[in-house]
Amino acid sequence: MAVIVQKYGGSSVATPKHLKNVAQRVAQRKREGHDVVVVVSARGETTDELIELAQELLPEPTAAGSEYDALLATGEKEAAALMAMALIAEGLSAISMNGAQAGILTDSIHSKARISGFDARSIQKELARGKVVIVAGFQGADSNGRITTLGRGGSDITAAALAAGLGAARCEIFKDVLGFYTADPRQVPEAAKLHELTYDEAMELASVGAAITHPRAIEIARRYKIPIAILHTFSEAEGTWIKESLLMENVHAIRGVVADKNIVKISILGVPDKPGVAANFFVPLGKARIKTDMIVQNISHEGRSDISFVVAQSDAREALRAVQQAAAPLGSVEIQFDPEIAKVSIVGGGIASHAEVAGEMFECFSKEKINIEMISTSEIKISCAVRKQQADQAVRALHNHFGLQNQKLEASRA
Amino acid sequence: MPKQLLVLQFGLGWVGSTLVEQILQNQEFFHQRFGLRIHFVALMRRQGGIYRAEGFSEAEMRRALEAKRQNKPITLEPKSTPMMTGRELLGFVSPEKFSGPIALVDATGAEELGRVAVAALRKNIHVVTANKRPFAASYEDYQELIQAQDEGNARLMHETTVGGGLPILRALRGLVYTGDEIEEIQGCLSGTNGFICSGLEQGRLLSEIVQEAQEKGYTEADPRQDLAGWDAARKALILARTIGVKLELNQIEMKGFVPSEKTPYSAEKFRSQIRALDKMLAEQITQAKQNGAVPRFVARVNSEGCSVGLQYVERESPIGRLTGPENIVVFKTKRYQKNPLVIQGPGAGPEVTAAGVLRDLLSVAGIYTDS
Ligand SMILES: NC(=O)c1ccc[n+]([C@@H]2O[C@H](COP(=O)([O-])OP(=O)(O)OC[C@H]3O[C@@H](n4cnc5c(N)ncnc54)[C@H](OP(=O)(O)O)[C@@H]3O)[C@@H](O)[C@H]2O)c1
Repeated sequence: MAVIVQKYGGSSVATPKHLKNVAQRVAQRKREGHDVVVVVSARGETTDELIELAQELLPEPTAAGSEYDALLATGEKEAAALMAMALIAEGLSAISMNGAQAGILTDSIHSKARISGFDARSIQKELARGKVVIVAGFQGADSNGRITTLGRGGSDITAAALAAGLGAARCEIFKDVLGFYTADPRQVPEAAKLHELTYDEAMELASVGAAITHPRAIEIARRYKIPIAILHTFSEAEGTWIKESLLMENVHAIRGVVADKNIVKISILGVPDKPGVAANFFVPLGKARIKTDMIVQNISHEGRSDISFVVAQSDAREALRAVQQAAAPLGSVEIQFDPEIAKVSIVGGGIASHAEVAGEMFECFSKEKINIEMISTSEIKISCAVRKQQADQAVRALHNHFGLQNQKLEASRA
Repeated sequence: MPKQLLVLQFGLGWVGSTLVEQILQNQEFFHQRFGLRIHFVALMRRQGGIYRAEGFSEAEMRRALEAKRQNKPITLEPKSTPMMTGRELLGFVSPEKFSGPIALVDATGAEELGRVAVAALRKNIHVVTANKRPFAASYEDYQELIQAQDEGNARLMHETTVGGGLPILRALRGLVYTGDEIEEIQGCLSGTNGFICSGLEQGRLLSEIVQEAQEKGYTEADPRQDLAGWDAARKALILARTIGVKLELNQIEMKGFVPSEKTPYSAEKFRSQIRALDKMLAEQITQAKQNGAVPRFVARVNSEGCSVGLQYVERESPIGRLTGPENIVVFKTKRYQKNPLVIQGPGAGPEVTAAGVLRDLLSVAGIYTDS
């Protein structure tokens, strides 16, 4: 019997009514003859409420390390137990587990832990007894048994890891949207839904800000070749499949346009231009698991240079603190930060083989009088940093220019 | 022991930067005269800002002003903590740790600062503001703000939200608190529209005056906002709410030069819209002159409601004698019947507005306690 892992986000399990709905979905899979493992996130605003509560006591509660994680993990545990009750009410036999009970082992970097191992036995034992297993997402335990959390989007990572470890037929991620689109439909009403994406494309879309699923979840699925289906919680419509491409060549140069407005640009001005100074800043940032992007260094004057990069808004304070510390011994270095910035990216497997794309993107911006402040590229994406208030305009212009609303959507070969 | 006042400064634009200058320039005077030291502990702009419990030095403050002047982002000063939002900043400031009052100064034009103000008041942080938006927001939000003050020990001072540096709100409160009955408040509260009315009175064409006002930078980016009277309406709303009238902005009767429109602004369309008014207005004004009346942009507030717009008033009256962008407020009350209470003077401008904010600040610092 094939195992299916399903993941439901916070808005899908917010109220008893929602939970009942979800329980019916799960029951349906079970009746189809599958073994079902369900991963849940904390209900609705629970996590934010817990954070606010903690902030009343400590302005930066993350500093409390494992206590902060222990607190946040309760949100998912609550949802898991309620989910189990909803399933029992549906007439199924069900058991809930927290991350550690489910066998998820992580390193000890609190609130940003990575999964280092998964012992599938306790879940398998319960599945063999015919039970639906509900796992509290977003969490695990380190080798000392302390509770850890995986960061925002962590429940998707849990789901992908369980799917990989259990050799699942697929990982179904249920959301309040139908899947990946050529652009955020709130920004571009004519955006088209994407039926299928390669792991690489989905990962890139997710990492440049398409808030559908976490890139780390896709990475795990890619490594273990687990297909991911993004589905709508309360709709039967087909969502987006993420899996290996069966096509010989990429037919679509570009699959989507994404704007990420939750970023902050950090500039370090007047850095002595000596070998190794960049490492001075980026090694501590890496150690703190802060992802940096769009790094630009320009030699300015008198043997000094300016370094700029962007980080996620949620990492900005920590990043600035790390930079501040690294800059202290360097003397007259000035640090600036600017959240009025957004990253606009185009993503598509065919970008590398379509040389004209970059030029077209820049031309499109210049027609719209949008100034590009930074650029970064990979095989399958090009990102430009622009002023935040121009981001929506940029997305619409690119979507239109590349004709994404007309993108021929190949039928799913699932 | 010298007294201390700690300031969380939001906004370094016209008013904000002038206020910072006024404080820096008068530090010694405040110290000698009142034994008061004012320390800036946070500087916030649209893009976030910085916080340091020990305060920022004069040199650092000047660097922040300079960065703003050059339209550059804020600099993360050594040992300061970066803040992305005002709410976040308030999480860091605990009044218990400071000896002396803390005041949040709002010199922005952002409505969302209302929520920050509420959070500050609940933490016993005083709020001194030049920003009318939160006071002209929905009645519910306004009410929450006032309640946050009433329920706590911190004070909410917003003298400069009506008439810049003129002591209009404190005069009004003085009347209300002593049991006088307000019959009607009339006033010219918009400098731009005052400028236009004076021009019209001299026989110039509306289109010509508006163009001059635009060239001199007196108008907003979308001048229809000024001509419709929104700025005056917000101030009238604050006056109305101060005397206890429950009113929403959209309940104010708007009789401006142009209707309030939501369509995107186009300079060309606007010009023809205004030109179409030239003839009719010129005729009205000639006619009015024969009857001894002059055009004024008047806000009227009473317990029934509120209206804002173009009116023809007797030339020989306090409002009729007003010239140019000056503001005036005329309080007709039970006690001030025949001879209403009149306050008149410059209703905007960074120097006088910042000074008004500063006066409110000294008041929350306990230097003097009128109003
Ligand atoms: N000018 C006058 O004569 C006068 C008279 C009476 C009352 N007022 C009122 O005083 C206020 C300020 O006027 P102004 O002429 O000084 O305006 P301004 O020159 O436009 O300056 C506004 C300042 O507020 C900052 N700001 C905007 N939104 C913010 C937010 N959400 N959080 C933090 N900071 C924010 C801006 O930041 P950035 O630097 O990042 O852009 C800027 O520094 C307005 O409410 C105005 O109605 C002005």
